[in-house]
Amino acid sequence: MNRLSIILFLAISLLAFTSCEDVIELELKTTEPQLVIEGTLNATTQLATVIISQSNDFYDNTTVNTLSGATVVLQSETGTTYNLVEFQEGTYTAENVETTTGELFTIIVDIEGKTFEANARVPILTQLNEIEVLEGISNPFGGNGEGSVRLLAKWDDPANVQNYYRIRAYVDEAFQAGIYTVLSDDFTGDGTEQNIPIREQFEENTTVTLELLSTDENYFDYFFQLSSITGEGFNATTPYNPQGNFTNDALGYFGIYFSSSLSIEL
Amino acid sequence: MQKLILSITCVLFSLNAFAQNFTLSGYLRDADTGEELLYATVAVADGSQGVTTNLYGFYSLTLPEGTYLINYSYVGYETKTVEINLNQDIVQDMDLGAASTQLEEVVIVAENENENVTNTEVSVLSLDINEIKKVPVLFGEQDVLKTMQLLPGVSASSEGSSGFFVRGGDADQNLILLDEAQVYNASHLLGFFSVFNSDALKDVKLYKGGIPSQYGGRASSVMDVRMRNGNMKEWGVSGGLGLISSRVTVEGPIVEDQGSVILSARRTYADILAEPFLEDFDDFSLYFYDLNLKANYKLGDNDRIYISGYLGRDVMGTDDFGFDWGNKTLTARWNHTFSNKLFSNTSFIYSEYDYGFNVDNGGIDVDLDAGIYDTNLKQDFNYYMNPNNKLTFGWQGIYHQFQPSTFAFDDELQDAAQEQDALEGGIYINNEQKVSDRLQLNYGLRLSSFSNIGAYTEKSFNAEDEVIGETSYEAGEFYNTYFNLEPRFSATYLMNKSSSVKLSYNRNAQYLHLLSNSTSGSPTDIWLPSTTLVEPTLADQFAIGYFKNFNNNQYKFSVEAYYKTLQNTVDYEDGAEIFGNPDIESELVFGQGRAYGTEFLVEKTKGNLTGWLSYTLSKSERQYDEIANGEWFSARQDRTHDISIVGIYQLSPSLSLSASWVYNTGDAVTFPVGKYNIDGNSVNLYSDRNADRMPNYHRLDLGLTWKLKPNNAKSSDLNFSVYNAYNRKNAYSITFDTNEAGTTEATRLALFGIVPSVTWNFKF
Repeated sequence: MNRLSIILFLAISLLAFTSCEDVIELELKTTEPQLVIEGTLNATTQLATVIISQSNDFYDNTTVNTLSGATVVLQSETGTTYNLVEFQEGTYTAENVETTTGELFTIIVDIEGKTFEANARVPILTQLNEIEVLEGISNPFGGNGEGSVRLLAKWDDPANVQNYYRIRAYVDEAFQAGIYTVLSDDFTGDGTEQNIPIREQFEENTTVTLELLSTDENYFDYFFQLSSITGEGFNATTPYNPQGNFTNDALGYFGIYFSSSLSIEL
Repeated sequence: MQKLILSITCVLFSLNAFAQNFTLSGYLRDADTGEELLYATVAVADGSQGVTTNLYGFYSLTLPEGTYLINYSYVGYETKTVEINLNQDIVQDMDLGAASTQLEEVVIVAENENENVTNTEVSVLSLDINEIKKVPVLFGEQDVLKTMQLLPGVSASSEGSSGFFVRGGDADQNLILLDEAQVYNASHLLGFFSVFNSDALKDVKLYKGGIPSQYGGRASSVMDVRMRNGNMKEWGVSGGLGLISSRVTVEGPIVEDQGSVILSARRTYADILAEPFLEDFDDFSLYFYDLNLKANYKLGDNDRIYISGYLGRDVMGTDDFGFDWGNKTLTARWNHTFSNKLFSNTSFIYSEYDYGFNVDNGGIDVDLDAGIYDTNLKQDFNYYMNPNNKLTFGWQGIYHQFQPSTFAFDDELQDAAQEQDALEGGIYINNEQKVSDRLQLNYGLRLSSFSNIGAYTEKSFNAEDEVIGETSYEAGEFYNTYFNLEPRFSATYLMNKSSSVKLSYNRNAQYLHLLSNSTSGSPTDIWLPSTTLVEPTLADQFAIGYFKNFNNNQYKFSVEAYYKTLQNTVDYEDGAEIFGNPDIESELVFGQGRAYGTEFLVEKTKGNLTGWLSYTLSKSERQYDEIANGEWFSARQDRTHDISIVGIYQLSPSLSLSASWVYNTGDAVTFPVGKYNIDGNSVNLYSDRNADRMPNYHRLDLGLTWKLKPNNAKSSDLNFSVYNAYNRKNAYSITFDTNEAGTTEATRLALFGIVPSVTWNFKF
């Protein structure tokens, strides 16, 4: 859909050849800082990570807003409990978390006298099979058309179960934040070989790593919402705060995923 | 002599209780082209009795036996006065000649110059198709929808768009009819053009309120667009060449004064112009076309048949991506005059809107298609009971078929949302009654129904949007029916010849809902029928207006106030999964709305300088339990102030200048109140829905029309226009992002700077 909007938008811009974008000064309202909890359990590396922070003003580019001193506990439905340790300010981790597919985990965060809880189930492991360079697709609006490369990720979707995915990209080991390729096999074909073009374009003479996350439903729901509010121009939607699975109205989410990566030199 | 006749008329009139009544009936036509004149006036010269022609140019006036001076008049035409000795029923067709457009003053004693004051229509806007051609517009492409937006109570959905909001209603609450066929998407190219090619049009009327009972199916407004019939006298070609589009119209008689045909075609060529700038990219296409075709034939004095059709399509694509959408309509009509008092029209209508995607996804051909298909049968009757009562009644049945989405990979169907079928019915009766010389009433009742029809499997959902139950219905089974009684009422009280007070109330039920998640609307927005879960939207509107003409009808002034409530409005919940979702109903929320406002309009209709000034002060709000904690919030189209000024100055017989200026309060939108980090990226924090405002919008457009051969029937003219003359950077959207340096900033997108254009129009 985003590709469509880009084409529509640029086609219309061409038509008008007068559209312009500029940075403007716009006064915005502010609000009280709100609590944000980002909790993940990587079932492949067996690492649980919880980052606790606060929101700040839109134009505030200085404030450090991580929160220390929380008690963070991860519980399995089988009764195992892991205490997360503050690894650096606002980041809490636990290693060697044992998981089995379908197992329910609960994360409990105690901070400033309040308790926040969220649940997630361990998803199914899926392995990334191959990365391919997409031939024959040019983008007339891509700016530097020469030297830009699009990639295709391939893997096999397990049949007769609901699977959710996210693909993260790294260029020369730097994580490409803010771009969300989020999928469910509802739309990509249950039980089929998945051939998914990656949204961003890459440049020649770089090493690109694609990380396939096979995620639980909570993680997918949250990132699907994130991806849907990042549309702009003709594709803009009514903005809202993505709803996560924490109690007590904390922003953020708790999700579990398996990860598998492959790299390609362009 | 005239005085004598007048006094005789008066005497006869006073004797009417004893005299026998006879009926004068017939058609009013344009003398040059034979086109029927709609809403033209036929009246006794003293103004005591009169009627207007119906949508097919037919009139019927019943008077006591006697001799009368009858005025036949129509705006922009010379009035004809005829002496009629009414001692039997008389059929009198009348041809009117267009008023000359010379600069020297022409005295036209048109009886209906104060029509705006005296008729029972409240909250109705009419446009003169010829007049709008002088108003400057984007790309020089004349457009009735955009000119409508310059009138009070009607506003554009976004910059340059032909989509519109009427009195705080939503974009899907406008019933848009082209020769009675519903047009589901009236936009080309994301709204920069409407589907209406002015060359093919005869009349446009927009009912903002006081909607007559023959119309049903939408909550906010009715836009009734009628296509021209084609020249009955001689063959002709007209058209225009523009920078990005061209159009041509061919029309003429099949048999002179018996039948005629008209064909209009239009195509844009933006892609051809863009080609040189797209070197790497050969198979790029971006265009739309539309075709209007209409033919009619008279089968004797009492019968006439019409066939009209519209076909329009937008196409855009690249070598690995294609997207197209469009409307098709077909209307077959039969006019029959049962007697000189009873006129009927029977219409069979087919209407379709569909869209499709085609993506070459790494070697796999992916198709997505969706559409809505309507078959419609209706009958309308006009019964001219007596001079004081005109009855209109009829019925209608529409069979809707909805296909929300189908997905196919390499032509193999993967997933299809279930097709939904429904029958929408309506019966109505309406009376236009002249109670006294001062008081006129127009009242009616419409009974509408909507039935969902199987085969269908209906799902029910829990709070988490999961399916918790299914009920299956067999093919042809009516499993859910809604009925609504829709009263319509309007009254006009004439204070004197030049001023009146009008009142109206209407209830409208809407059974179709257009769901749009994007702020600007897109061709992929889905029409959904009412179902067990989705109840029909109900609108109730009260309006009151004061109308006054000054200076021998040279200036027309009106002020109207309205209050509208909406029940069962439909919206997506936050974070809805829309695209290709087979369970779309689970993503909906239901609420209510209210809108109120005051509209002022001052028009100058005569002289070298004509134009109008319109100002609307209004408010439009919505309430959903699931949104903004159940509080009322501003609808996006809630624009507190909305001003339009339009001026057309006739400099010389061959040269006219025009200008329009618009100003409105920015849309109600949601801006961030903060930000936070997720997954290594900054995410904006939002608070109340639509609590912020886009910057105020204003723009000046200029136009110049130069007639190359002003006094020749074979004419041509050049039209120059400048859109956004002072290069105002109106924000189309504002995005809040992190720039490459890692700081957050607000970026404004302005779609159009100064856009000059030139169009050459011809007529042979």
